[in-house]
Amino acid sequence: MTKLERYIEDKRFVKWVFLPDTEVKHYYAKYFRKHPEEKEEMVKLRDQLRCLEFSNKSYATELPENIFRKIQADIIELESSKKSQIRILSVLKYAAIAVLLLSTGFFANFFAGGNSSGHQFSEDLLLIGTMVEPRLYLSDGSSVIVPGPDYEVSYAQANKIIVGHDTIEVNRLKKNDRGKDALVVSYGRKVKLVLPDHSEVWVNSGSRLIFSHNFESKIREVFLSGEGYFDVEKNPEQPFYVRTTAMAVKVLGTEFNVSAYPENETIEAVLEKGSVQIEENDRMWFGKKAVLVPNQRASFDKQTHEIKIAEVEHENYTLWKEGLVTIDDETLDDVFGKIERYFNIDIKIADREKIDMQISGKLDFNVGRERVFEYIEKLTDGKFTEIGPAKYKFE
Amino acid sequence: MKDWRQTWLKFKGGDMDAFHRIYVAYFDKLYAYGSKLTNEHSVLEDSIQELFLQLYTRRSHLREDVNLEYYLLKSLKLTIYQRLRRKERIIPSGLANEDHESSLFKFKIENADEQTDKEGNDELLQALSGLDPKQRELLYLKFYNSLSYKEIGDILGINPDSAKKQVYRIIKKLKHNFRGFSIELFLYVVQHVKKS
Repeated sequence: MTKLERYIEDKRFVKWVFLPDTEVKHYYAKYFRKHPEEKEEMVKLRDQLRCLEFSNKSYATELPENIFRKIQADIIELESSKKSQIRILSVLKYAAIAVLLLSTGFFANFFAGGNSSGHQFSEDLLLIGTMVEPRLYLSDGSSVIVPGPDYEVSYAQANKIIVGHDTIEVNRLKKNDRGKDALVVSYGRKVKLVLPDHSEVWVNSGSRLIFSHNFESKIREVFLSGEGYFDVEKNPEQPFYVRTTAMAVKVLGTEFNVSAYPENETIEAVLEKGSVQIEENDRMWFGKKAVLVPNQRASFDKQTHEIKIAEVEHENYTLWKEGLVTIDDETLDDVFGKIERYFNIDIKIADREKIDMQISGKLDFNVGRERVFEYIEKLTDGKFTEIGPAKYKFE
Repeated sequence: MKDWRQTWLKFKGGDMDAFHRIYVAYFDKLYAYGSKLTNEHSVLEDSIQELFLQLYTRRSHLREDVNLEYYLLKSLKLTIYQRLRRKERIIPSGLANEDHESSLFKFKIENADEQTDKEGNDELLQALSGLDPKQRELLYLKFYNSLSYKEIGDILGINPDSAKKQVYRIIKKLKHNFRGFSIELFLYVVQHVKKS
């Protein structure tokens, strides 16, 4: 440590130079009596450093208290608005949830495994990155686009598939019928699918779900790559399975959510309510199993085949279905910053009042800019308008 | 300082008096720093208001051993920059034009009038005016606040080593420019400045 450093890094010395009070002045007066040899150098350094004195702006004496009163008023307002915040969040709760995150090679394994759903899907499925709208692939080889803005498909009525506003009459007795349909959801979209047993599935962006068009066998099963939220009709006689490459989720209770994206190294399940069982694939007797209780997450490591259980907030894993991720007391400006970066757009705020508005809740960019905007509009009572290429005004 | 921790814990528990004590204890320091980051009074005052509201709402998330001074200074800077950015309606990087920038973190000595004795402090003033706003801010954070180099580096977005090196580089350079005139002359200049 150099001499200079010894002085500069000494908080007392710095205080003596820049913000001297009587105490520190006194200290150095005493110090120099003891160490007169240091005085000249230290005083010189002090005087030199003092040229770094900053020019300060003064403020009115009443300013601090005025600002504090405003802060108090803000706090009171905030506390009283908490009730409505809680109400907003409670609307977003769901009955039962399980999330699965699935790693690579699902379709390779799935089709190689001799399942009857056929290779015909696979090529189309690989095109998911180039797809704009979600598409439903029927077992007879035909396909149909699932139109927005609702993106809904229903198998609830026998021999009928409702896709958006259209109804497709289906004759399942055709000989070439492989018995399984597939829903492929393009990036930035989300499709709600009602299965023949009236169970509901929200299939997330970039996901594929293969399912029987009737659930007449002993078990109900679907095959998932990507993410899906399942609201399963309870039927103890006919258990419901969500299958993935390495493990399956068996629904014991009522409802759950499954998410399975190929990129991930682990497969995860998160349960909100009810009961599900995680089972390792193809190991009937030796495979690992785990039963989840609400607010637990099971992570299945595909390398080690270990299942780890952790306590989690289910909402963080399941609220994507509403197009939401967790936002904790962030200002609209913060939130807009994130939206701007993600969608590579520019948002101007016209209404100064709203800019500081704090929101808590959930937001998901996967659903697409329009949906994100709609959600923000709903939450804030504001409005987005396009004012130029990739430029939007919020007021 | 020993009952400061007590105050902090009370505040975390929601005690308004403790909150007010913290506010009073830091107002001056925050105002001094903030007024160097922006010339807009309304932005500064709104930012202080927002900062303490945030402090209050996030109090339960704050660590007990947080260096409050660092936390508040950093948060104030972020809040001010955010507000300026919003106000300007421009993308984060462009905070202010150069004219605006040069009016921030002014040294007292620079406020001297044109006719100030140029013989003695010319070189020094030149050296000082050669410092960019970030270097000035660095010196300010170092000498007017009790922050570690790590904390200073964090606020300025540079690494701690570089923060420390820069402080010494600037001081050595200034010391060099002191040569050639006496303390008396320097004090004369300072007095002159104070009068004006």
